[in-house]
Amino acid sequence: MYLERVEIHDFRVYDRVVLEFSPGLNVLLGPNAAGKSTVLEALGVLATGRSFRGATDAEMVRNGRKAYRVSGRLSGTLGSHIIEVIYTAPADTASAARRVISVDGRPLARPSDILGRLPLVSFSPDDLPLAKGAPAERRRFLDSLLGQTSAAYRESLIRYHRILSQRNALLGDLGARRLATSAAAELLAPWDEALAGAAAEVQTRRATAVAALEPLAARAFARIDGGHLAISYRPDRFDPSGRLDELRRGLTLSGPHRDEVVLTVDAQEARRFASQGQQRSAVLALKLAALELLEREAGERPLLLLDDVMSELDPGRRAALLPLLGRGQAFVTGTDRLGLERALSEGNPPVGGERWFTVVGGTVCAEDSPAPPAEVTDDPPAR
Amino acid sequence: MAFSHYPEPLARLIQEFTRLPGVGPKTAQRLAFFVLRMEERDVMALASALADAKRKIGRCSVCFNLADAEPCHICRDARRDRGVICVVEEANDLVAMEKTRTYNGLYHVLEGALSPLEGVGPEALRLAGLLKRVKEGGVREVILATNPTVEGEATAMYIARLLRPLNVKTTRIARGVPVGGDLEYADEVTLARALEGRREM
Repeated sequence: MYLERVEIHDFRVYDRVVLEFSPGLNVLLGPNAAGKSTVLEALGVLATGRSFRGATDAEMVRNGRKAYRVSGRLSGTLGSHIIEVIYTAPADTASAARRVISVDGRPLARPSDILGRLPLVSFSPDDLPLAKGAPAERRRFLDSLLGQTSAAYRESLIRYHRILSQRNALLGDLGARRLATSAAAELLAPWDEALAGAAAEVQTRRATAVAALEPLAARAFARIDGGHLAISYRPDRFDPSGRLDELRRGLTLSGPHRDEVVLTVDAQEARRFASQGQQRSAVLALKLAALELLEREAGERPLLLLDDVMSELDPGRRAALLPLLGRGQAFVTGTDRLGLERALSEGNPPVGGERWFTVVGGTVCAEDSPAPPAEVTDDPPAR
Repeated sequence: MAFSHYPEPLARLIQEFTRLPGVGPKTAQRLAFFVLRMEERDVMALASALADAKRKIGRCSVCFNLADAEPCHICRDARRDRGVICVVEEANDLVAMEKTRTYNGLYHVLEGALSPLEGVGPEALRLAGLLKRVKEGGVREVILATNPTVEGEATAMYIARLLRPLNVKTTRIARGVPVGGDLEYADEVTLARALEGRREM
């Protein structure tokens, strides 16, 4: 599956851009702040409905405009589909913002149902916290991976968080009212039961995902860094017996929202003891493992977005990454043409079928591209 | 006053319409202009219908259904099976249940569901009445038909715990695949839940 054509309207610096992509490698070249990452961000919006840079919809609307639109045509073994995301800012203070995601012209009932239609893995220097940061970073990675493969997981997770906020609200209220513990236990009982059920669903899936991810990540890490990477999932089992403390603090103190995924490099915890280079390799290894796992689940190669990565990597890590660019569709951004060309020519076999784009101040121009690959020549771009 | 450029009675009518759910200023104006164009007879009929509904409809003291008589027509109906009580969140859920024409027992309307986020605790629900009805005897089964939402599920669990010491059969409505739907098109979540709730044949 690959993105054949994308239209971007009133999105950040872009007024209107239409891009025809290669099913192989697409290189976006341009100076800093020219709008390269914005193109990748728009692709992320198509795949997930949201910005992987953590921006809000309102922030992504072009200055002075009221709405953005991103649409893309996917082409795969099962035919082609059109995904469209339209966000409209509120017209006045009385009305609400609207975001409509549609597939082949039919709006989706739940925006999150877009996940999984265009599997995607992105990698940028901003991802370092995945190895270096708090447990929440690794939970988010796991959730986004599972969310792309399973609607049931998304549903369990949404439900878990809803129950969690209800239970926290109740704990806060009961704590303030200084109710007898037995009376409090009575009122908490249905929420305990509900939370335990949803927690078990979330944790079972997370455990399965980590078990599947570990060998893939370990192999990738060994190739990139030479060392040994281990991933261990430490579920925080929901245990309502700590109630007194919970009532005092008005917070649920155990459960999947406190799960940890520990990365170990050569038997040392990566978060604290690994070098910056090892942490970078660990992140890359996790991303590559996610790519393989998604491919296994979906039966098709996910899109790979590499934002500002090639120039950051040393030759060894680059060499590990390059063979992956030969398979599936990839999008690479960079500022330095010669550096990128050199990096790509290091690939063995060399990466082919690429298309280059120049990005300057809100415009994107496709460069004189080589003959398009065979599978698209008899399928001229439709208007 | 937001609509002060209109004559006072019209401005007031628009203002009143904006109190209705889902009605913004624009719709309120459209409705008000429509009322002005209506026959006076029809406007009077509308006005008296509003006042009548408010004055004459109350809650049944037994099941808390909306009713114009005490007790309501369902609680009074001698042909109904008085041994089964179906517990629903709101009166409109009861109507949905009635439309199935397959349920012949009585109801109990909770007037809400547990939601600590909105400050709704058990005391805000019509639970004392339900317990009283079960304790009075003659009830064989309580069917918990609260919504399949987080709040509806917690409410069902809470009531099930309350009823446990009373030794009455307590059941929860099943969730599953919509009738007439193709399994292929049922969403993954619905299908998973339907599988959990499968039964032997």
